[in-house]
Amino acid sequence: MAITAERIGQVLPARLAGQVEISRCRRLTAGASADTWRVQATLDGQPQDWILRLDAGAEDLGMAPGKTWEARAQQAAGEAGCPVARVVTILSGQEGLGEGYLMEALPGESLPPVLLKDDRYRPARDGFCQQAAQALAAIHRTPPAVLDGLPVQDALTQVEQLYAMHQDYGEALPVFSLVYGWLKANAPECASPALVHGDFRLGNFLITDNGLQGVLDWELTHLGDPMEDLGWLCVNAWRFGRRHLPVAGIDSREALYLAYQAATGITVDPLHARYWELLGTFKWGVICQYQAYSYLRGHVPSLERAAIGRRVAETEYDMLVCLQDLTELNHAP
Amino acid sequence: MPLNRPTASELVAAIAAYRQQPDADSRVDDYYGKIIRHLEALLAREATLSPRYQKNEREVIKQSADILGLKDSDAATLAEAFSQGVLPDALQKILSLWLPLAEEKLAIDNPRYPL
Repeated sequence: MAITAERIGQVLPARLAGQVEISRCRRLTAGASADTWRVQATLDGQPQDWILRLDAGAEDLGMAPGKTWEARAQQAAGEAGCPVARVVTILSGQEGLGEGYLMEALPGESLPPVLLKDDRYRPARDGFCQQAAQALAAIHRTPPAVLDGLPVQDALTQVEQLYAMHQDYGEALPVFSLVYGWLKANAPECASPALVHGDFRLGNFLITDNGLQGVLDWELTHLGDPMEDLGWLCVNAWRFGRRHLPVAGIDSREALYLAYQAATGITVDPLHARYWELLGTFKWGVICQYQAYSYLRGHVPSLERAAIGRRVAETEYDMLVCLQDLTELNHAP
Repeated sequence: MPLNRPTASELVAAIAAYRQQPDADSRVDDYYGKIIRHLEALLAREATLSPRYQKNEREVIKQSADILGLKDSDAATLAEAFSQGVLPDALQKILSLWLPLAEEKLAIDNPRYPL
């Protein structure tokens, strides 16, 4: 059954303790993996501004644990001190809206071009590395025991899964194979898996002129190597054209590594973090292929999806640059 | 590193399909208009630059196969050998061959990409 504002209005009040009156309910986005609604209501007479995130049920890269885990990870990271939206209730799917969760709306801007260019956000950019590192520290210190059952995805698991997806497309692209061979041979072990956000990048942060207000989009969360989040934050695709500023187009890797060390007491091994940057670039390349093939195989008849296929060339270049940097770092005295 | 899919003919078909059924929302249609202009420029560059690119690609594949001591020099054989891992000395040589080729491919797919 298609989700409508009326359907939400019928189902949601029964999930909440107290008298709920919904005044407005509108769809914000119908993304590939989540259907997001803004719900304005009163709860026992008090005004509420909520975000309802539902499973779109359409596409899955095979890496998402599902909306219940997404909500639980967000809650647990929030309890550990990460700025997140408070989860109001989790929907199991039995209610008639599919899996999902309701959370409080947070203030802030998430659009990268605005955050990178608008003078209003200059103070937020100046403090970004420190705040991002503090958020990461909170995520990574979240006790894994409270998320028992959340899948572990170490480097080798991800590399094999992504390469299998790449091979399924049937294109012989030697750069992907070169990088796969290197990532496989150099995969770090993950002795103590921690909570990993999995998509920690500009675009998934709510930022005001006071800085980071919330970390969004926990749909790729898992247990794994904390360095994955640092590497993904530096993937060139998330620098939005500012190649010379690896951390989200805002700052240097060294600034992030030092801020992370200050927040956690853990010294970042640049080789280890840069391994994950390469793996992240490889992942982005496979995701671009995935989107292109969703068009080519007739699943999503979108011209935009078709165009994304020709962005794979960007990821091939970026993978080669990352790999060259890694080999040079490896030979540095 | 062949040119990626969608191929030129697949992109032409994708543009034609959109034009047959454009989005009714003018703002969305404007957005797709930008994508079409981007793709048409890409197709024009591909028509001009791809013969030279493909020639250089064949040479890079052959030289890479020589470095690894492979008998056959085609993209699939090379990809299979690469996936088994490459020793550090050979890797340096291979990277120095493939990086310029990747730049050449970007000259077709996105010449404004910051290098």
